[in-house]
Amino acid sequence: MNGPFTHRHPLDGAISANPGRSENHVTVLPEPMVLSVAALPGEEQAVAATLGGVSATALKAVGPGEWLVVLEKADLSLQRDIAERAGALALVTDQSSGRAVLRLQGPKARAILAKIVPLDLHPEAFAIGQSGNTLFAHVSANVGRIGEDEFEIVLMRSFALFAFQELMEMGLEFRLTAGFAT
Amino acid sequence: MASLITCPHCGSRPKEEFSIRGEVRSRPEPAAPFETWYRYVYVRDNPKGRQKEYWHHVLGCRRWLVVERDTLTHEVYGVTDAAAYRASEVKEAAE
Ligand SMILES: [Zn+2]
Repeated sequence: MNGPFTHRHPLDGAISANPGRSENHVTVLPEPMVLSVAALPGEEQAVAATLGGVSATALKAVGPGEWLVVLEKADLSLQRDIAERAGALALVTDQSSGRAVLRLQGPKARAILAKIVPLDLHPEAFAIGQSGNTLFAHVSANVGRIGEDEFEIVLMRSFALFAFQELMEMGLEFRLTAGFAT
Repeated sequence: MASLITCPHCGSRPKEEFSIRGEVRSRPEPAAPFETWYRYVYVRDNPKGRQKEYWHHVLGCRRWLVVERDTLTHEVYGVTDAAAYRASEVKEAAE
């Protein structure tokens, strides 16, 4: 079968068309930009310095010398800038079509997330701008705090549906709703 | 099982995030005698007590770590990045 490639989000069909919105809500980014930046051995500090232009909440810690840059929409000039400045010191790859990004927000966001991840989510232990790879239900995800009551979850595309369903189940008692960002 | 491991890169994490490779041992020289290689590949001390082990932080930073723990009491004495551990080992051997 031949045909043009059409973008299909892994949660298409999993979210109702008119979802409604309670104070606790999951916003699914329809077309986020996710770049992976992995420093070459010995270049970790130099690469970190080139990423100064990326906001603290968009820069996700993965491991030593390894980051994800996560934005709501493609930003080609930032992507070009990172590739130019870090390109010789790091491997920069566009992972946008391989990842899904969920934003969990609301007064009970922390309580819901605490049922799924083993991280200490107290603001003193996990402040705005902090992030890391961790166990999310049974799969791996990058979890970061992007606001006082807001967390961003970056997953492999193929885990998105499972993780989303798990999140919605944990949010049932708090009337958690979900919808695509508009 | 020690249930919380403090990864030098990620902080305190549950053991479910890791995969354990086993006892830390130094790889013999390629030309080492058969008996040395045999022991390296097949024979383990399996102590009841303190032991250094390789742990892989699979669901976190994906780095290999050296965890020193007590197999009997589950107490963890220290966690080091395996590359740093190896570098200090090489440095010690050279001194
Ligand atoms: Zn780690």
